[in-house]
Amino acid sequence: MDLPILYYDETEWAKTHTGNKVNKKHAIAGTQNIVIAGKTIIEEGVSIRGDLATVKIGKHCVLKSRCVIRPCLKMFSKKPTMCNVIIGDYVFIDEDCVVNAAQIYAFVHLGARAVLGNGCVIRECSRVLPDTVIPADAIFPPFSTIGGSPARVIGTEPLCAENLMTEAMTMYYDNFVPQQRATTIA
Amino acid sequence: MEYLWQNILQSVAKSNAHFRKRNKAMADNGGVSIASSTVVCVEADIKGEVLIKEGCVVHPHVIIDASNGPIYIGDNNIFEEFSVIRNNSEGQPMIIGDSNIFEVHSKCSAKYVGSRNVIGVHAVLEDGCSVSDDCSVAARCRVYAKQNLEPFVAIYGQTNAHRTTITPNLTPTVQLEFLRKILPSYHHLYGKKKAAPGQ
Repeated sequence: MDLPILYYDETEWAKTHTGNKVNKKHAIAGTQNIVIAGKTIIEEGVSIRGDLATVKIGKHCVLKSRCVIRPCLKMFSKKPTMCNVIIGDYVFIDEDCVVNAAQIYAFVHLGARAVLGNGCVIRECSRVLPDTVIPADAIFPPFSTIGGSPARVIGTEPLCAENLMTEAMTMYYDNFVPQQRATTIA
Repeated sequence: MEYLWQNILQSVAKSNAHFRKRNKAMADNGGVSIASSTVVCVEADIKGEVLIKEGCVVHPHVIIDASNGPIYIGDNNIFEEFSVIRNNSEGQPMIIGDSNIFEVHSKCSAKYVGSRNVIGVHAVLEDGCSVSDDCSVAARCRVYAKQNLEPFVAIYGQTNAHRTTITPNLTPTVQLEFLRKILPSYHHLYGKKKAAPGQ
């Protein structure tokens, strides 16, 4: 299946030398603590809270509009710590997601409006269905389809999930082109 | 219930008058008065007659809209980003007690919120509802309009199930201390921005 070509307005987007495309109407705080590998698309209104802890995002990720990435708070006996957030490669995060997770491994698809509780871990090749609410500190195994409120594993993903996500995310990035260039090619 | 309500209103009015007298300098910018120990990020959108007492933390992109009626907020509350506190009543005050947590994207237009409540992600407190003490509203749940929550009620699940709990919610003291320390080093603060106009 081919994804349609998405045009964006070049004046509203910033492109870094590693190929990240970031909408200028973001709500990102603490940029010095955010590491984004490359070729990641960050849409309008996305909030990443780098001021609370370090956030690492892998390559070829897509963060759709208005999703929130914030570090989770862990209460240790001496003092509270904000844990670092690590998001793997080829991760798709759909609109209005709230990600409080500690770690999201590679090739994960988060459906729209999903809520990931404090310090939960999603392993590789999983899919979180739209409107899922994942409770705090939950850990889900690889290749699981996660849904419901509170969330549970309701199925398995195919073994080729890695290839499917890689292809989809690469295609999303390749088809995400500026309006100007698109018109000159045509 | 009505008698109790009058009592609350009177005591709030009394303590607010006292508070305003003490923080006279702060009360001058458009009806918003904020205690000095409260941390409010400048990206937060606060309008109307809003009074925030000691030790609260307001994250960026919070909307506190008191254009239809005043909002009085007690001590040590946390408002996480994109939460919306809006008074939709006609001139009736909205009162929020102490040590509440309003998580990301929560919406509150309740007329009264007590103390030590947790309002979860995307949770909604509809117009004119009231929440007493030690309640938890889980992610994506809602308290319907004009509904009154008894103390120690938890709302959870897809079906908005209710049940009462025994343990009171913990006050987020350590979390507040941490946030009060870390937020000023990354954000401009509301009301204090004027101190450094050149930067």
